[in-house]
Amino acid sequence: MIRCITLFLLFIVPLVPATGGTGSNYTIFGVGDLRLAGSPRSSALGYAGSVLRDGVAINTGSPASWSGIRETTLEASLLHEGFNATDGTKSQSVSLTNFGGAAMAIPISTKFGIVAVGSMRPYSNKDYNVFTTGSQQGMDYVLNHEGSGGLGNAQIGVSFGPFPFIAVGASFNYIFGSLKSSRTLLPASFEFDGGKTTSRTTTNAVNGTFGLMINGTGGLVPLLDPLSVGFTFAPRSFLNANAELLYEFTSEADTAALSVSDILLPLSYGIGASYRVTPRWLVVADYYTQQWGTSNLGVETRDARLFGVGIERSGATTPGASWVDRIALRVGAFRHETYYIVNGEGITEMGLTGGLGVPFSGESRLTFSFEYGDRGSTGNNLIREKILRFTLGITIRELWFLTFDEEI
Amino acid sequence: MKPISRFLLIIVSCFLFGSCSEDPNLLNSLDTRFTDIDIEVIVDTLEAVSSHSFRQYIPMNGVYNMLGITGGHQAILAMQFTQGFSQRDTVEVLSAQVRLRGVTWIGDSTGMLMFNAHKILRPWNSLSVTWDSVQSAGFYEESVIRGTYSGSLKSDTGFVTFDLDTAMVRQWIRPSTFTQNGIVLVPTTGSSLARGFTAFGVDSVQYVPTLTVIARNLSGTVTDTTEFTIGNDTFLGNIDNLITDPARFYVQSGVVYRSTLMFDASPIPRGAIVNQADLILHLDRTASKLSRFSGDTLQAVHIRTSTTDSSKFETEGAIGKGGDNGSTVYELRHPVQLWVNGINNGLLIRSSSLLEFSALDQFVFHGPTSSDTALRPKVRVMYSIERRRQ
Repeated sequence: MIRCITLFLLFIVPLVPATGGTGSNYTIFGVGDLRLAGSPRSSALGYAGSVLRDGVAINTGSPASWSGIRETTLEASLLHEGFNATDGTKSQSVSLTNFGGAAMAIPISTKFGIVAVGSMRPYSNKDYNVFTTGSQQGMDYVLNHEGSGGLGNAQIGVSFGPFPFIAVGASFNYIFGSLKSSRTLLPASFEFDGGKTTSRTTTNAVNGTFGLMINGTGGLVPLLDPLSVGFTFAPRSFLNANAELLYEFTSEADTAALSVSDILLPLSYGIGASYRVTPRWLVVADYYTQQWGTSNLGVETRDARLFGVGIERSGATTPGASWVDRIALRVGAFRHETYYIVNGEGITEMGLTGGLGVPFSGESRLTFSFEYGDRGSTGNNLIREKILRFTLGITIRELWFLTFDEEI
Repeated sequence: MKPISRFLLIIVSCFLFGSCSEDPNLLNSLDTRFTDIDIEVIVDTLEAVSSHSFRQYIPMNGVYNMLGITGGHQAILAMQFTQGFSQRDTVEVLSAQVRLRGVTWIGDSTGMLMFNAHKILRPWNSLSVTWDSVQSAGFYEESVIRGTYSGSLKSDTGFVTFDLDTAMVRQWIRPSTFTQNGIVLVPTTGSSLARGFTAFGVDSVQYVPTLTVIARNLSGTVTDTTEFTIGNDTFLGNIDNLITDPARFYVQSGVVYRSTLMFDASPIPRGAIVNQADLILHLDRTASKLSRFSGDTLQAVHIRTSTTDSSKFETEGAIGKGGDNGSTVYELRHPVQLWVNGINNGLLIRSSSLLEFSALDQFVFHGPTSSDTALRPKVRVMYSIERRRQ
């Protein structure tokens, strides 16, 4: 049964397209909303938890953390986002559901913390549908801006943790995707013809993510032994971009190659810390930044920065513990200074998060995370969005492919 | 219900509840002014860079058949009664008379219409026969006149009747291997107008071309009268040396003459949406020769599909309508959008089908080199281009 579910998630879930509605109007800019959660667990912890080396989840943003995974682990998720946006006079509710990601971790050597991980996660998402009106030269018109697509990240990497107090990891990332945006001109009168212009940019790039993690002091300073700190780093790379324009007029269509520059995918780094207060209580904090201010997206941008903190009460692991007591509880908060600068104003999202890790078979878990965020404002011709995100994930841990190191 | 099942039920319910959303549309769309791209609507005028008029003999087969001479125009009429002959070998034809219904005219309305009828010697088809094929030697029996007419009508409409050679008509109704090809009516030099006659297939039976034959058996005991009203017909027109002014271009029905016009659309950037485009032409009324039965805007503008073969064009064209200052305006959004897309073979201007195959009207337009620049052909275009917001 578990294997059937696993196979389903691994092969079917990634094929789930974005469904229904649209997303944030802010995704009209750049590559859209960045997907910064390394795992559904991380989403529930305020986007923190990159230095958790307990093997509960596969945090794709932190290769060093994989060294704690001791069983073959499969993880997949769906992300549902709802936006309630307002310009101060009107409001609009839209939502969409997307593939949240899938990952598989195979411990090669539990003794040396060598774990191979392959994953596929969204890197960014673009999904908007905006109408504007205008009148020029005696022609009243509606301009419908639509956009879809996004970037994905196919990742393969390995961790190495020969000692309990230190681990490193690295991954090779293939970032790819297609960004589609269109403008449809709809004149109010049949005296005028309209048309639609669609630009489709396909991109791909390779880069790497590197991580280092230090867990405690090896007994030197007992007070700091529950403390873990970590660092992740991804150098900048360029998205090789090819673009095409499709024109759809009333009576004919036309295509043209669009000359575009490769898109700079800026350098990013993050630092994180966790402190295990008791065996079941954990406090985490992360800081992550990506230098989008140096990018060439064609719109004004700034460096994206994310601060997140979270607290987790782990599920009981003692034999005989009740099912309820085995549920992990998570809460968190975050402040995400997005790379968007609109009308000269940076768009910052702040939010609260929460989640559960619900056991359903052995060490396998259903993971739920909820986020409530708020970004933008109704001044300066901006919009304010209240955002509800819901992630449903499944984590399956099995003793597949596992080789045990022989005791000498 | 197990705890996990209860839990999942609650979660799924929350998920479904959270899925409620609206389809974005104009009414509920937020008044966002931060879209990265807007449009700019531009109005521009394109000047014609060249024009070319040419003659092209094409089959007519219209609803009216022109016949006569007016000015340099000449039109001959070919007709063949094809059905209804009861084959009898023992008759003599006492009389054979053709009646045509005149409904239009061009030229001197008080002038004479004079023509002779000749026997056509070769098979022909109204869908393919042209002026030059009729002029070729041996098409009709030029040396023998099988009927003649000279007269004038007192009004715009009326009947023209003339007698045909009874010996020729007797051949038509005598069973044999003989194939009759009909007659051609050739105007003679005394004509000073051309009349348009209704063709076979006209709605009103009383106006259809009619051949009335009175025949008697050889013993002289039975005489009967038969009317024949089914057949093929067409007319074939011509005018030589029409193109006299290089600063004009010519559109001539019934021959025909057509013209091409070329515009340079390069000022409009690729990808622009052509919202509106109108071709504006000015008719040189002095040089034009129009009948009272045709409007002065009855021309069609087509997209040429070849730069080298003038006979190739999109069949759907734009018909003119009256514009400012005596101009004629043609809706041109589709052609200009094609030009913007890089496909510019120019325009073909011809008489509308209502005239081109059924009249001899002659339109002369001011061309790209007309001394009065205000009268030169131009395209007034309104287009939209995308602009990234600053």
